[in-house]
Amino acid sequence: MVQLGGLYGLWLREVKRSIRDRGQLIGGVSRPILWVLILGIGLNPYFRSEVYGEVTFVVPFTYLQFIFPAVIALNILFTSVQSAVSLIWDREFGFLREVLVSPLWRGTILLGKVLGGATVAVLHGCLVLLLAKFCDVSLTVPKVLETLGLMALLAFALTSLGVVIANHIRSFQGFGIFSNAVILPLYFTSSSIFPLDPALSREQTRVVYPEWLVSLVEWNPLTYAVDALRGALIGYNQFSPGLGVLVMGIACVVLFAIALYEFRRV
Amino acid sequence: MERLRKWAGNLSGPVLAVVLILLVTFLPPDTSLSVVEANHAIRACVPTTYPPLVTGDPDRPGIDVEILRAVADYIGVELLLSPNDAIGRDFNPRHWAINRGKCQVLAGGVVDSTLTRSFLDTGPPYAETGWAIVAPAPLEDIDGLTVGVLTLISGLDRIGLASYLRRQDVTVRVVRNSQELVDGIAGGELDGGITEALLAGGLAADNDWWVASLPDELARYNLVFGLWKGDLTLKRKIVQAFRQLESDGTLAAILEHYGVAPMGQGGSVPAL
Repeated sequence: MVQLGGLYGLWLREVKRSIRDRGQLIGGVSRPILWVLILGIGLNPYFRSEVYGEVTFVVPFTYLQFIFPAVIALNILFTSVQSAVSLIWDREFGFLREVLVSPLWRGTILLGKVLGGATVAVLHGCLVLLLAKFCDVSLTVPKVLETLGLMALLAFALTSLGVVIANHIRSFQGFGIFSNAVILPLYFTSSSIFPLDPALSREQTRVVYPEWLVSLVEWNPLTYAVDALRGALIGYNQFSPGLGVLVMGIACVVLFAIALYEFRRV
Repeated sequence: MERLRKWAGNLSGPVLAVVLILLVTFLPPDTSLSVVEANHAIRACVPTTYPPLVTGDPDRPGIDVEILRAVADYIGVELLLSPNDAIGRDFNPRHWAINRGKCQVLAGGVVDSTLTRSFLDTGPPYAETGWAIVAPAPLEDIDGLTVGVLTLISGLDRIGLASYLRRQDVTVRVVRNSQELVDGIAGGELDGGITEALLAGGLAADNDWWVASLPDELARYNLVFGLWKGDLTLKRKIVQAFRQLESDGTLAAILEHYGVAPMGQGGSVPAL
């Protein structure tokens, strides 16, 4: 009971802190606006067909529809990883010491923080969902529920990753630089802004794109999360539909285990 | 009271964020509708004839032409048809030379399939179609028969049809137009004819023949209008127009006029 109460308290603290953090909210709004409104609309004409029968974009969707699920992943990625900055904050100002001497287990403390960060990240993902109509992505209740489930898995895994990073960084500035160095490469190599044509074989794909890029995309776990979100929202998968859930499930367990191992040494 | 004020203070940020994002959704994502409105006309590329969707008859111009006219009226612009006789001569749409400059809408046999959506965006569906067979008398099965096949422009699955006919040991004669198909059946050279379901229904009605859809293993598709990918504002307006046409009964009246069942009523022809 004490553990549950403590878990709830830590979760609520993370959620409240994020809601009050105007900077994080501005980020949560500006990212979808920049990526959907500016990049999506700006590039949309270059991906649309001009002649019937001529394929300029291998995906049977508009560019806006194609990047929409990826922007959800981006918002979750940023929010999840950056929510772990609170760990540095708590360490700096002594709150973490107070929590650590409480009767709560380390696992409960970490879970509270990760669940709090993941909740906020899912809420930031939902901000992007509000742009669905604008991007011509139709939403139904089952579709939204499936998407929320995938977003929760992704957010949990990435918040755990954020904690792993925060455990190794001692300053706010260092965390900002390091997290950006992780977030942006992860995002750009996740097939978020360009597709790997599912009609092509592995060998053909390696003719269209350089082998190192295809390998980076295939090794990046976020690729499968973005693919799962695309499957749920626009019914388009570049990989096996169940692979995204499997990869995210494994990432949740592995990253949380690493975060817990390191958190026990704090 | 103090607690309430605190909560309101906490929630003001997220509420502002949601409002800001919702405001963005009111921005037009492209210029397709404004171009149509500025020109006071919407252009549609259609085949010269593809009954009952496009007939070429001014008094009874066809389902697609009448629906497009109603959509144009809703938008408040004129409908300009751009008949293209290359459509249907070749099954590769690239050879039809239809481009964005010629028309904003493609009509007259566009089906909502993955293949279509590789090239185009699609409007709302208004009728169902698929492959159907016509014959002077009811057929139990088509095993070993000689049938005429008229594919015209329909985006239906030709490869699937070819595989199905091969399995049924059917002798296939490809015909170029509906008259050739009618003459072949009437003259007894063909035991029956396979073509797109709406056309088959029309031929059967005109000649007092039997008609049936081919089995479910051959997919059925929704008939739609083709729109250029990325023309979101025009698509939204067309969707609005369709809602209006559905609610005031115009769409049902047009379909009924041509003897076609509205969406969700199992198509116009029974199954084989």
